[in-house]
Amino acid sequence: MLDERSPPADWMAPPLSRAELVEDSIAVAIARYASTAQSAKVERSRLYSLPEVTVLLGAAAILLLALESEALASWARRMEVSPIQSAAGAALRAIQMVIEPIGLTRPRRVAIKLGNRVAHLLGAGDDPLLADGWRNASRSAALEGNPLPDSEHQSGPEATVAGGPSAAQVVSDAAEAGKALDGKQTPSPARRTVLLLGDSMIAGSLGSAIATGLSGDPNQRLVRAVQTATGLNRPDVFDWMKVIPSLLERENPQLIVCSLGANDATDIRNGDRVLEFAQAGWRTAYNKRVVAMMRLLATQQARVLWLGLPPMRDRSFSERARYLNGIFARAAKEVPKVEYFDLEMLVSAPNGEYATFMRNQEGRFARMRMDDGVHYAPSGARWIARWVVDWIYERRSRLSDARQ
Amino acid sequence: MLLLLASYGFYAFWNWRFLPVLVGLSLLAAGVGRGLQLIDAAPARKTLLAFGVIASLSTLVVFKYLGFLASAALNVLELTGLHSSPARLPEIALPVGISFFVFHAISLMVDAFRGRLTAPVKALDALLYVAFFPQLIAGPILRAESFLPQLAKPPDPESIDASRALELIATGLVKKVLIANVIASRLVDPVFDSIGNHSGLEALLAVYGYAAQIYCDFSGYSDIAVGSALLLGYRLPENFNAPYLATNPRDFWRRWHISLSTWLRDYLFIPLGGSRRGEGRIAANLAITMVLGGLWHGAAWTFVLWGAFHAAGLILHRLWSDSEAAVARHLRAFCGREWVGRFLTFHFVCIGWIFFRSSSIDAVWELFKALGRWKTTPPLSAAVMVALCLGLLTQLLPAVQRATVRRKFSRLPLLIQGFAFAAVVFLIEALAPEGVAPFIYFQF
Repeated sequence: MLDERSPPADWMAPPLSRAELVEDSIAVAIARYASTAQSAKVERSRLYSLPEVTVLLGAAAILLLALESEALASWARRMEVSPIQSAAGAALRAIQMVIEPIGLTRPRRVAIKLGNRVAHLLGAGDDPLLADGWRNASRSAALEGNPLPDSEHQSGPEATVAGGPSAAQVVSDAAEAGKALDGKQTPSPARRTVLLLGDSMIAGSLGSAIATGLSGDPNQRLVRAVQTATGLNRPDVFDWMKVIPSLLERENPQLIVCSLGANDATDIRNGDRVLEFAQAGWRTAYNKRVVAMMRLLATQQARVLWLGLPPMRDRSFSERARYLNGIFARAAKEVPKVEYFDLEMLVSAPNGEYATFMRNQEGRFARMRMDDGVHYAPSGARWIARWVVDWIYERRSRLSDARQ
Repeated sequence: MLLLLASYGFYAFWNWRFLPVLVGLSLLAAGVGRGLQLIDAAPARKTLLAFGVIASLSTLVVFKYLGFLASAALNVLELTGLHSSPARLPEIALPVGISFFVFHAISLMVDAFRGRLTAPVKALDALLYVAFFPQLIAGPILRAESFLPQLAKPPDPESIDASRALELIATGLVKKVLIANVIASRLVDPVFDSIGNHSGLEALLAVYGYAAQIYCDFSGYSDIAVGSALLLGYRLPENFNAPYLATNPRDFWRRWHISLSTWLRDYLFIPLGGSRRGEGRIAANLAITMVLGGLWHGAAWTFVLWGAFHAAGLILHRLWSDSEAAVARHLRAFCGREWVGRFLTFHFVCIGWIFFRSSSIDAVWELFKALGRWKTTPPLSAAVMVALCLGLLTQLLPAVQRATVRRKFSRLPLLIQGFAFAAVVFLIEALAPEGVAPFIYFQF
């Protein structure tokens, strides 16, 4: 834009004066690479009229709707349970029914398969980071044309399937450098494995803070199995119950830190019925899932720490989180080896309400929460991670102090 | 009017609670702008402009920086031994895109003050200018001077540059959905999230990866915004111009986030005195501009450091270009070679990205420590390397060939054009990793 040979486009700021230009190769580089300088020389492509644009975009939209009907249907399936979801799902399924016989849903399947094959050829196939249980769960269901899996399927530990959809994003933070990107772990019996598991509450800063807290100790091997936007409410989208058995078998953790539930303050679809949040039927169904999940985590005698939910900025979300915490706390008492960790008082203002900034252990104000009013900010995550690391090393006193 | 409703609908989709802030700021800017056009007396004009700018900036400060500033101030007080600090700080949520629309409001008022707006400011136009939805959340930052005239007369329905629009949208999607996503989820996030466990080579690749990711992510978004606006008949500024080909820090800022760097230049650096008042003052102006520019990205010390780092680079580059010492002259001749300058500038920018990406200052040091740990590491998967290289190469797409493709494309039958565009979007979706990560620049 400083090339004086081509006039600046009309949106541009006035060019710098000559005095402001220091001798350098900018003008040369711009002349060679800048699209603005070159577009002056090339013949312009033709312009379109409004009807033409309408036809063009209309054609594109119709073809896209056909090619992507499956993707759209699976997107509607994953939306939060609501009347809109039911309507969108029905409409898109109807479209899919029409499209299916024409064969227009095939290209997408072929493309996905081809993409996976290329990724595999490039060495990404065996990367645990690529093993995306969510994608498999939703796409394979669509591929086989299965109906929605019954959300109240048997989910006891004995009912789980070996060889089901593979784990979510599993990042192994083994102490040796490079393990995280390599992914082939060789667990040595002398070392302990800590498994972090859950949704976005533990995926980002909190997971990192726990990893940092353990990184000095070569005897702690950390494995992270996190998938954002998941929970216990939508096994049709992502089913933790199917992921965990193979995960436990492969990683054999002695300690598990689990944070789930932040995405569960929604209604549950049970076949054709919709169970409303916090109603009696919902409570029974959800409680059953939480207990089953806790039992499953504790099957191999690992110690499990179930992180509760913190207060949220949105008041009604905060209330729902507190309600869920009640379920977690009671369920944890039922299942041996599982402890519930109450974050309501640890990450909040003195009156127990949501707080973005809070005094940390040194008495300084530190940012605890992100701007979204839900997730932990790095310093907040470090604060929580201290207690979690204490629990991992069984330094119990501070943890129990915090809970009082 | 329709566009305005669409824009507000788009904003309400993110968070309707903040619509009054958006509308209020727009009306403030419109009122002050019109006032500046009507009043002739110089002192009154200055007061009015000061009032408008201070009001907009305080909105930004209250929503975005109050918690950060208050906690920093209280912590400083604590250190000096004076503590009467409250148990908690006020809770204020951050409206999406506020950094962008406050800058729009200021641009409108200042342009009106400078007499750059020929037509009278109308409230509706101002509302749409501040909230125009293709760029509302993450830029590019528009100039009142160039955008308001576009609103004054409706776009010509006979001349829509659709082929360029579709090209921009498609390349934007490829950059964002395919390249940036793969690099982020397979390389950058795992390494930055647990730096302590990674070797120097991995850390280095993650830094290069972040350079590629943030470019693809942000320029991809800008491309999509410019393309969609073009379909509606409006022209938005280009935001990037092969930034990693810059041969010095100053050149970089003429190629990276151009709409922000020119905004800062015209509404901050030049009012501060620009480069007309002696070396010391220029350095100070550069430092102020870049530190505030850093802070604009977020209320965190890492962004302040990032801004300061770039300011230092710009100042040093200035001194170095003017220095008459023999050593400097010889070195300058060497670094003046294009590729040497490019190599140095790219690495300078990459070091800056470490500050930008890290979650805290501790994390920055962790990363620098990791860079010093040279151990043998298993090779990265080829897929990630391919994405990284592609990410850095996308900035080189040659304009002439692109124009040729566009011209040929625009001569095809309309239906074929539509189908071809659909096929491209379809392929991007099918090949994309599941779950698109949010655009990096949405958070600013």
